[in-house]
Amino acid sequence: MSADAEQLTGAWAERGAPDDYMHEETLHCGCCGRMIVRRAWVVTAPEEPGGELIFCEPVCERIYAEYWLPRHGGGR
Amino acid sequence: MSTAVAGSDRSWVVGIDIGGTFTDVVAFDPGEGAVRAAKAPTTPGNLVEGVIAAVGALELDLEAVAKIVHGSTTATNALLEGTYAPTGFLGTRGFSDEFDIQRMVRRWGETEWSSIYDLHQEKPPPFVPRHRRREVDERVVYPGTVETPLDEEELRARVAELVADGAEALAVCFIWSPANPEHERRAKELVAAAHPELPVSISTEVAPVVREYERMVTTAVNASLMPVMGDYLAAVGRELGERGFAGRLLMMQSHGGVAGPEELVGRPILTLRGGPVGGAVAAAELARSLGRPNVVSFDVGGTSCDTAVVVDYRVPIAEQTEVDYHPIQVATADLLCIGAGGGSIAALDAGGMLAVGPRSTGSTPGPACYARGGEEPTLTDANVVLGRVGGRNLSAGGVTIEAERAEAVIGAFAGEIGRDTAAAAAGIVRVAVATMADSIRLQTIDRGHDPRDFSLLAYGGAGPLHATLVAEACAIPEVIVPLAPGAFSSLGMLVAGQGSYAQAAFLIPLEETTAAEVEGRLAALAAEAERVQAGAELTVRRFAAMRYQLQEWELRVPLPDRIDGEAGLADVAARFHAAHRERYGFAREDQPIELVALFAEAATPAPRLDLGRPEAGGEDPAAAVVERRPVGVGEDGEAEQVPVYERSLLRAGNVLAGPCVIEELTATTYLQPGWSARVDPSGVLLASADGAAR
Amino acid sequence: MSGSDEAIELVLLHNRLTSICREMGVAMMRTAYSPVFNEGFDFICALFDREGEMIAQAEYNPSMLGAANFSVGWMVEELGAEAFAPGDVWIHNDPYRGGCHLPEHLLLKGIFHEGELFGFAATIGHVAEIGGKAVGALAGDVTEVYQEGLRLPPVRLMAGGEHVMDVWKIMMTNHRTPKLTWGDLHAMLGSLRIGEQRVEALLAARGVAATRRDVAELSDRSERWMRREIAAIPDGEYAFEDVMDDDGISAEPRRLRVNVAVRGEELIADFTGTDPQTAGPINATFAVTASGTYNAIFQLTDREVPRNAGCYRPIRVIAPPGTLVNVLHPGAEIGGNSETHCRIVGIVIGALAAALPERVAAGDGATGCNFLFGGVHPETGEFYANYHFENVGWGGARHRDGNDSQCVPLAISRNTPIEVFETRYPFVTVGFRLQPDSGGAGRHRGGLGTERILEVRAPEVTISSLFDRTATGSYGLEGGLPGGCASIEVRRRGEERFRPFTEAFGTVSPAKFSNVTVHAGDQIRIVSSGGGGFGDPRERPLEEVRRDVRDRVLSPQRAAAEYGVEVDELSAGVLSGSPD
Repeated sequence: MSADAEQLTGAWAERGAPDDYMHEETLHCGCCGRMIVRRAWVVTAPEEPGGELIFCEPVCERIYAEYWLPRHGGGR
Repeated sequence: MSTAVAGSDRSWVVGIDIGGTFTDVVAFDPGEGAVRAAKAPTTPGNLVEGVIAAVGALELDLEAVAKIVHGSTTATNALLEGTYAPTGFLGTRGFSDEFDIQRMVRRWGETEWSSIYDLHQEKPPPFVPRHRRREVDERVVYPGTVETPLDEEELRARVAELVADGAEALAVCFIWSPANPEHERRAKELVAAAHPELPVSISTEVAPVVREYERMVTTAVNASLMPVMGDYLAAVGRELGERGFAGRLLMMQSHGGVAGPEELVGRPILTLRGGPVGGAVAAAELARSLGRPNVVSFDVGGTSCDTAVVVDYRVPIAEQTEVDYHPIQVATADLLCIGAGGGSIAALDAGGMLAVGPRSTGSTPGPACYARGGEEPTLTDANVVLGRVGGRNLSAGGVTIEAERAEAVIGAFAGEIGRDTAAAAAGIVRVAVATMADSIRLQTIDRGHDPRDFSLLAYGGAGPLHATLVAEACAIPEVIVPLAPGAFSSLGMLVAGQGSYAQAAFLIPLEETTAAEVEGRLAALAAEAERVQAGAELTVRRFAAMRYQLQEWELRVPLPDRIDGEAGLADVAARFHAAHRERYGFAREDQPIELVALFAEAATPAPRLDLGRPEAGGEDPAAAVVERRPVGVGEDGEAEQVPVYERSLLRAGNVLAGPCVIEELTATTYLQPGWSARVDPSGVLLASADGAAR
Repeated sequence: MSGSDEAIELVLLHNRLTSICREMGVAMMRTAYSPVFNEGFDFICALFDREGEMIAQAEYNPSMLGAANFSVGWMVEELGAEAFAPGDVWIHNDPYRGGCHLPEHLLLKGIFHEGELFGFAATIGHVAEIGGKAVGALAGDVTEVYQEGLRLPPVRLMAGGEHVMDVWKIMMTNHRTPKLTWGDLHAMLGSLRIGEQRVEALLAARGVAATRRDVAELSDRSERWMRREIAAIPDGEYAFEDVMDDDGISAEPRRLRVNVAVRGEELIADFTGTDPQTAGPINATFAVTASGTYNAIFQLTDREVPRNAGCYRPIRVIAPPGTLVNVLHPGAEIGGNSETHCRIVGIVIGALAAALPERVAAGDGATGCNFLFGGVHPETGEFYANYHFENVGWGGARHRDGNDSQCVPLAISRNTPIEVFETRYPFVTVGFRLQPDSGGAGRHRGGLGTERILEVRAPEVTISSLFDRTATGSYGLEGGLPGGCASIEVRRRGEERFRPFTEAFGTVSPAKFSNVTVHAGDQIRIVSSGGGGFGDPRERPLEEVRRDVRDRVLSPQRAAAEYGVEVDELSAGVLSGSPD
């Protein structure tokens, strides 16, 4: 799915640590809930705890804004 | 009438192929190398009439005939037209609902890759409806122990109910009968005693294989065909006998082998594809002689278009086939048949779109131009209007062409669709060609074969007429037209009809049997296969179906001529490992192997069929031109004067440029503009699009 | 290349790739040892590019096809392309690394051209026995992934063409039927080799660069086609919910909920509102939820859309972590890819009933009727284990009755022939029939489920079960009634009647339990669920009600109660004689 690049503010960053076999905590996309493997699409969001929103890919940043927020309000 | 030959000098072999429109026969004298061909209209309802008429047209003394090999569509027609017998089913208590439950929970199979995402797929209705099924107390359990004896009283009562309810044939299939057929055999005896006229088929005589649902359906389909096949075989044997035939009558089977009437009267299902397979086998033979490993066998007759994809000179054989999604556990040539032929009727469908077929006039009344009462526009009529089919030598089968009748029906149809007559005729041909091309694409492109690696081998009365058009539509670069294309399928009966097969289940771990036991069983099978071929000089080939223990599916592997002792069995195992590696990419030498079944095939060497090679000549074919006439060659049927050649006057080396028409006794070839053809020394026409005939 | 030449090239490439995947599948089916492979088709074969994007698939198990995007993607991203070397095969079955559930093992092999990685051949297969609390993995009352069987993160099964015996030994020791594991994994390896060889030949013939470009174009075309399909669905928000019986640990029902938002050419299936994840094994992974959603949408759109990465892109799934539809570690998820998966497909289709009333159907039976058993075979003396499932009735639809006895939509499994079943396992089948009255009443009735009765022939057999749809029937639409429920019951040797396992063995759940021991002469009766009806049953034509009564798929009592057809109206069509 193409996401309109000009409306997006995130950037790719390494967040997941799939080869950390000592820990089982998993990181999930802030919109769709999918597990993050290694790369995440990170959006700076000072109002959020931790100051950022983490998505699995750019499309989820858009869907978060267009669908998730109006319907459910606020983060997870 | 030809020269009579004394009975003891029987040498001719005759092939008979019943098409939807014509019944073709061809006779071959291996001693003299002589060939004769003839045809007569197919006579639906009583196919024997057409067979006898066609054989009569050979003008051959039947006393001089040693063997008749016959491909019949009797079984297929009965299934397609629903004229098979109302059939009762008798099974083990608790299991007859498998007719409804089925295995193919969705229409999925090796032959049918339909969607896995279709919410509205219709499940095929049960082949035997619930009210024609009965169950009895009996049960055999693996590995063949009788757990519940057959309740003979109940069996008699249930069969009587089925007969009272109108069953005209009976199928019996009990659970685990392949492991112990005793209850089925006893059932057959009891039914024969109570209802001597009722045809009965038991599963272990038809498909003695494990997997009860497939065996049940195969047996039921077989039983339903027994009355019609019994009548047919009796009639054809009697009629031929009355005309002096005292040789061997053999029927073509679905996989390309033959069997006698005594084998088939109880197992008509073995002839299911016995008609069209002949042409495919002949196509593979011709392909080999021309050095073209990949050909699409393209057979268009009056009613249908049958295609088979021959790869590496082999007609593909499937271990199982389907009729209306009902599994048939019988080895069968992999053919695709669609309802598009010369007799296919052009009509507007509900959406106002032009459609050609699948409805056909068949041979009666036939296309309008046959002047036998046909009043609907057909593909043949369209070709007559376009001048691609002329009146000159289509008298084969007693039919003459009346072009004005074709003009009349196509003209009327043109009025309906608001076009002129020529444009309507061209449209009908274009639509039919697109339908045929789709069918070929299904078998090539959809299976990952690149059509550009193939030649289209066109035969049947209407195949060569459409071949260059269809080839272009499917991106097939070359068209091959054999001599006597209309008789090619029946010629196939002569080539293909020389092999017969016998098989038996033999489920045992390889290490628990001995070479002597395997040899003994193979010898019995070889004798059974040879018996069918009555005395000819035979080559026997043997095969075994094997698998690794715990596997479910077996692989068929050729066996050596002789298996001797431990070393012999080790060689059999090595052959299986090698075949497994070749087919599936790996072998497991450390795993035990199971034998599943043994096969023997007895075959005579294929006779070399020489239909008379043309004399050599130069490139210029002018000497073979018999007329020039206007032929519709454009998109909308715009006509040009084009040369018409007589095939028998062509010389090897002649090069023909399209557009042109080549006429011969059994068919007409049309070369469209932009195509040209060369006459090969063997007599076949090799046509290609760019003019660079190979 | 002219337009039409390009079209020919692309369609040939697509068909060639698809046919390679089919050939991989045929090899797998024909060489595997377990019925779940060779009769049940519980596997997939697919090809991926080097980024882990699917480029082709064959038409095998839909649940795995949808989920393969996630498990292959995970493996490629975790390991990195440089980890793959010629002759290596990686294995992975971890539901917490993009998998569906523990039995589903992904094998991935790099395909190289002149030393450079082009992409991957992948197979996923349901390995029937993987150790854990109960034989056959699908125990109905496990509470952690650790009880379900041996869990493998991405590790090498083959290195440079050689067996990595350390890994094989771990698997062989932990699985109860190591011979079957060995045979099935080798069938998968053979299948991968065929995929690898065929793609190598294809690359040699048409070049790597052109092939890369063309597979990307094929994906884009699929995506555009799927977008057009979604655009044709009326925009709107469509909600639906359904209830599962219990989780095997406690008796309460659990709710699944979806809101399907159709916005232009994009579709979002939002499962917010679904109950939290449970202690018992009915939790689904994200991959399962996404796969179920794809499946539902594919059934409602043009089935000709070529299946590659592109057709999945316009379909988005929102599955809140920590719920039934997106389980968190170490939750039990073994039944999520069977029972919950069916319901996910069902509620997405149910939601879209309002938008696409002509295309949908009422609910299918929606349970795998997973029945697991094992023990020491009295004749061979060896351990055996089997994963058995049943077909269900499908739902009625606007223009037709639902099909009887058909595999749940998440799979394409065929039932195992009785003669194959009895060769391998110490049971004798007493009967296998359609279950009368199990089709939901409607103008178009739901399809029927089946009844199977098995008698134990070994001194003892250990059985486990994981069914749902035993408490509420599959939904009807537009006035159609729910389908019949599923059940599993037992009749101990010498007893008069079949009884539920709650009564006979004191299990918490009637159909989710593990490790119950039954003995020679005991009988198990499995009834599968029917499909829901579509439309008002009283509008069903009299002759169709009569036919159903004549064929004994509908009782006269039901005909009267649900279709309003009294006994005297029936008699005309009822023939004498009965199949039994």
